[in-house]
Amino acid sequence: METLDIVLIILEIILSLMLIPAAKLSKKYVSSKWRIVFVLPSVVCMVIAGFAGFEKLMLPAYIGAVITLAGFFSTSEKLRISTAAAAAVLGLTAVFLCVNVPEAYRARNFTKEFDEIFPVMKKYYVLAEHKGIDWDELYEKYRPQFAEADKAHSKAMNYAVWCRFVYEFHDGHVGYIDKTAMDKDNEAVLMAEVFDLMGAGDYGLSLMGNTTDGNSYAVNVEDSGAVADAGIHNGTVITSWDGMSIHQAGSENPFEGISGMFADKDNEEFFIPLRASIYGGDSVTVTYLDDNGSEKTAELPRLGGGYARYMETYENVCRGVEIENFGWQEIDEDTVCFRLKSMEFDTASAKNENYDSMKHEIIAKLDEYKAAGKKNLVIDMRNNGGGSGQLVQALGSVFAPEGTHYYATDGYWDDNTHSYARDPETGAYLKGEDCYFIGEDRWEGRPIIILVNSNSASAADHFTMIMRGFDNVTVMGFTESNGSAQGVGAAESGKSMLSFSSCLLLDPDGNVFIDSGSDYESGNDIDIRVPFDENAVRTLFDEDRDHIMDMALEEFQRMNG
Amino acid sequence: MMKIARSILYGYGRQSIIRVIFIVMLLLMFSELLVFIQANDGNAFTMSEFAASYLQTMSTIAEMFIVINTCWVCTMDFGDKTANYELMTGHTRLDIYAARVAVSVITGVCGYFLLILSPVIAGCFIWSWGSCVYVSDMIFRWFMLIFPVVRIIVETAFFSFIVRKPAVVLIAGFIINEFFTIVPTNNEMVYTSCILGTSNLAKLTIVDARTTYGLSDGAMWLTFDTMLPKSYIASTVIAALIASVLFFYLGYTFFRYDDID
Repeated sequence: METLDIVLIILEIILSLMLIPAAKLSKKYVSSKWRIVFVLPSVVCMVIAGFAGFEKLMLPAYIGAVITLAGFFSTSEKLRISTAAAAAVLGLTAVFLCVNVPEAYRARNFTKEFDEIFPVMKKYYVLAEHKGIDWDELYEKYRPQFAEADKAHSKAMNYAVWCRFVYEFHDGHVGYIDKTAMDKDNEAVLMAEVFDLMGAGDYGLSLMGNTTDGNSYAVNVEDSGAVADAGIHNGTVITSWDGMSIHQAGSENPFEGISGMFADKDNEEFFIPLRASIYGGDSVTVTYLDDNGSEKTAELPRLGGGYARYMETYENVCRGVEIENFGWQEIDEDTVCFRLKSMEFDTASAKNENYDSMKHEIIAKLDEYKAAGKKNLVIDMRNNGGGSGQLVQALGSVFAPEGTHYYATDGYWDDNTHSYARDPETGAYLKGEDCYFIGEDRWEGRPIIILVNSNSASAADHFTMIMRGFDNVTVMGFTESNGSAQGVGAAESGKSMLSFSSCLLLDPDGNVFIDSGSDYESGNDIDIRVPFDENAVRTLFDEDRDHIMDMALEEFQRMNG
Repeated sequence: MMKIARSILYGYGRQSIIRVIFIVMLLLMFSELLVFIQANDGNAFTMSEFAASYLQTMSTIAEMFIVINTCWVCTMDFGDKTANYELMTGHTRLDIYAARVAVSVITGVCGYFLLILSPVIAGCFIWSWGSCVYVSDMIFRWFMLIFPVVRIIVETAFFSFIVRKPAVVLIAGFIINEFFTIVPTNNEMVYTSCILGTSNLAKLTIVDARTTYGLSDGAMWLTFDTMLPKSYIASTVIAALIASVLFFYLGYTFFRYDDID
């Protein structure tokens, strides 16, 4: 129980019991001042409940405090004693209720949180028309699901409903945060609960690959148990999952939104085999090709919840170079890697929106590596969730060829309507100021490969977009970057917070910058899409090496002849 | 009752202590305006931004005024036996009680709004209102403040009639507030529920700011979201009416049977 509720009940019981002798004394020593003591429980209750907030299971205690007011209006000793005794009993009743129905005690009101967040998002979300969002339909669809979560008093169910709601937008900037699980450990615990709630299982392996025109491979395979007995190992081609094709099993399951949010269809497709590998009942029947190429079938029992293996595989596939943000690492005698984990340099630069010191630092490093004879630069932007647009401009100016380059265009903000202005006839957004940056070409035209993955979002998307048109720049990865580029705002209620795109960026034609529309295709393509093949499985899961980096080095060799 | 109210107002207008307190608080309000101007040194600002972002601070100061004012109005006539003379000249206890509560409400509400609006209105003569908040939205927000303000005045009047010593009411209020700032709680309802007048007032004076930004230099637009959930508006009005009536009645019931020295 919460401190204030405990304080309230203890005080109420003590005060009520003290009212019994007070009722007797008031007859002996007659004074109008005795009335005051019969107001005390109500006032104490109101003040504490005011600070602690109303709690329905504490209702008996509140009622108890109110009935002692009878002693204020009436001087009857009998009435005063009986109401005081009743108040003490009601206080104890509240303790009994709070302790015995813990799931309902101070339970969050998930529906209320949704009801408060939803209209704010509806008012400020700038991509609703672009993505074909039907707000009324969404509200009708999800509000009952939050009501179900309320009935069940289930934080995991609430989280799962938010994940599905968020998924409807196909926007990397739409994200739900449960403030009770903001740190990584608590979030992992909550996510594991959500996976369990949705029935996600672990069958001793994960799947990755290409479902449309290639194979799906077993990865992160358990080295004992049924899966090992069947001879399935990293790289084994899995042809069907529980009687379904891998694509069917990965797309027709309840894990949409729960197992990741993708702003682009291609990125979503890439992880469909992984999603298939947590779908099943107590066991799944898999068909696979053995080492001789013969098709075989095995029944794999469920080993437990699916979250741990799913995340392990996901993190391995999405790995980047493990050094600090804005760190440098020599990869080989010709190549150096510049790691950008986020578009945030330091607080002073962010506060003043001045990235001169960052530029000087990068330029000094580039000069050092040029002097050391480095020819190739890898900019590793994998898992870069974004940050400052001003930082992107500064960064772009370091690497872009000399001259003025277009970045993006702000939407035209109308102060009178507190929203972005639209063309009255077409409904299209009006353009505000164009934004440019001046290239300094500090790498002097040498080859640059930018590594991205589906977690390279927002300002990382911007950087990829502004750089990919230059002759010396190649963008590479298993998938393209996230494809979510608008500025972010948020709405909060209780312990829930929802971020969403609220600051509009357009391209030179006045279309939405990068973000996918209802076609679910973002405008941030990739130059080299690395296939997830046997080679990738071996490098990532057997040799524990960075496959994308290996591919980048091969590409440099090809470029340099 | 009207005669008593008029006589209280007559005496009220000649009490220099309330005037001094009011002027000091007014100076505090204008110092908030100076703080705001200082914080925006070199940047463009508007009075709509000040009105919305400093409403809570100004309201907290003005709230102190309405509590002091109510304590003063409701208890000043017990010390010099004025209330006794009123009884002896045939006025009912209800008249005596209601007149003091009514004067507290009138002077308290007027004082509260004079305090929170003076720097905004004065500022508008020098700087523009701007576009951060629509005037109509801000007027509605100010209007909503009337309910908890009246409620706090009636509640304070109740305590004043019981204690009859303004200093005790003020110190008790201060101690209660301090106590709850040190009690840990995980409940997000703290300080925002309608159960207490002060928390209700605090919630109504917080106007959520929303910043929209762009890539080009200085592309940043500040707006304030004045939208209040309908349920909160309804509960504010209902809670204020119930609490006001209840505490008015409790106060009167006590005063009716109380011994006046």
